[in-house]
Amino acid sequence: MRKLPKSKLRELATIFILANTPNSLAKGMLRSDAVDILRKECTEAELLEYYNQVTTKGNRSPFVAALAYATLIALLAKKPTQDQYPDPACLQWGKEIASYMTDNFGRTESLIITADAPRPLIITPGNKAWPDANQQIARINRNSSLIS
Amino acid sequence: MAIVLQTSKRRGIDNFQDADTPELHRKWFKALSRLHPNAIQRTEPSALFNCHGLTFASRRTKVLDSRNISRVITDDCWNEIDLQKILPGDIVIYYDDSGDANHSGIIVQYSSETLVPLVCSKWGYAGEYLHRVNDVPQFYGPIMKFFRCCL
Repeated sequence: MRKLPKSKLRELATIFILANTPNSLAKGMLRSDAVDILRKECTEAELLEYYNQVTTKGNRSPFVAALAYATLIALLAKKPTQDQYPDPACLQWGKEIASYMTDNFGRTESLIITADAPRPLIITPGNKAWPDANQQIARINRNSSLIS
Repeated sequence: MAIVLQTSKRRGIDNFQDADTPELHRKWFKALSRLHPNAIQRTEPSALFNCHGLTFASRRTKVLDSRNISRVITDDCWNEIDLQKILPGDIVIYYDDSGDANHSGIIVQYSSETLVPLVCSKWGYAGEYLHRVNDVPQFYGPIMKFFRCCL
């Protein structure tokens, strides 16, 4: 993980302290050099690992909190895949920022297709929705006549 | 936690009351005086309300979504006015390029000679500041609009 210079950290902390809304925090950080460095010089895996590490700290100074938000924003700007997607709920404004980033940067979605549960096929003589219904009924009748 | 907050048309305004300001944040606020030496700190930091909460909700809560500000502007008949016509009691809203209201404050003093209003506003986690209208953190946005309530 790239170490940010103290001046860049100070810039992030100032934005964090002075932001009035989640959107302004996201936009302010997106314009900062620090988030630009994180986006360009760190992989998604590195950012995720660092985000998970920094958000576990209980008593967060403005530096730590700002860095957590910056990492979240840098990671979301890279459109992470499902397995690299961070948990935004770790931060107070995380969900709002994730929503803003998704609206403006999009998200790599994983499409999950679930198979339907097996259902019994009900065939009645008047069932027109099943084109082969009459043939199937005839086959069933023929088989049952053979049994009897 | 939220409080019941509505426009004059009784439309709800989403809001949020934060817990106390963390002690570690408080040490940081002294640095702000170096960044904005001409801004006068009026109150101690408070996490209970933000700038929009000061301007539109009497300092009782935080209003975080810019769409709520548009709703208040419409429902409460805040009409945009020119800089030359502003008076104490009018408000200023700072917008960014995409039209989000990032900051707001109340005009407390204005001289038609200098055309630079003095504003009272709350800066993020920090306290309330008295500042010239253009003496704010840059990321609040380049667009300033002035409004007067005409209810």
